[in-house]
Amino acid sequence: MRTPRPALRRASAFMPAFAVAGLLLAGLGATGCSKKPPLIAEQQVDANIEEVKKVLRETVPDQPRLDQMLNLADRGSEQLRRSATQLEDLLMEQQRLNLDYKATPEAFQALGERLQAQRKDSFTKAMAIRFAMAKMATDDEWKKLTSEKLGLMGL
Amino acid sequence: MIWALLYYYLFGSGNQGLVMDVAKPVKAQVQDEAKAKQIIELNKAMLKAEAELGKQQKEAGKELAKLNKDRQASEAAFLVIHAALEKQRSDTRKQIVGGRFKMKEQMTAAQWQAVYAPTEPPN
Repeated sequence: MRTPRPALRRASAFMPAFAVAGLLLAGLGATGCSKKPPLIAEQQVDANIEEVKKVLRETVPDQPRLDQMLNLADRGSEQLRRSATQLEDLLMEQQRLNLDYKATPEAFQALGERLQAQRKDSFTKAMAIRFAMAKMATDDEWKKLTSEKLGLMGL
Repeated sequence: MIWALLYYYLFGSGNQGLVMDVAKPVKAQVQDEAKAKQIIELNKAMLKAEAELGKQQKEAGKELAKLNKDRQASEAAFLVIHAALEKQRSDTRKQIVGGRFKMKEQMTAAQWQAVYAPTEPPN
């Protein structure tokens, strides 16, 4: 089992205060009082991916295709973790930069560009997984995977 | 799933660490009342811009959720929503970073440090 990063572990302590639709971020912008960058709860990511896999197991009848889709779901989970880690590092850097009285506008500009590039990269990779999954699913399976009932726990 | 998590919760505005309500520490640290008032007003404008971006992000999330239901939705359709939100993020960031520097101009280095220094111990 993976050992979560200290910051990710710390997220669980904030869960009651910051839970939104079952997910959480303990963030500066989100709360206006904490001075920690946003965190995503590993527990929630795990719960989400398990729910998706459960629906896949219940819905996809043929084993080879099911295996491939379960693999995609796992890749999605890993991607989310990587994105969270990358973003957390950048936001810690931003917090340090903001604290620096002598920091220049150019430094903020450069960091803003890195944040934007990180979002684009994460989004592109997430989209690739989504489209691979959509290609493998039937219309009925997709409907179940994206049902209102599942909400954010679905695809 | 993954994109929804990314959009709703992970990405945030990208301004985390820059925008927080600092009215109380500013009042405590900046003795010149007129100056403190100016700083707090700048801070309020930044918080307002951030809140507005939050609303736009929520709307983009809803649009993505709707689009996602269509198994055959094109990648281009997703990218249009993403690009529009990135433009809003970029505009808001300029406003917030601009506000940050205007606030800084009104404060000494020591006041800045006292207002923004983390209150929690490092890991």
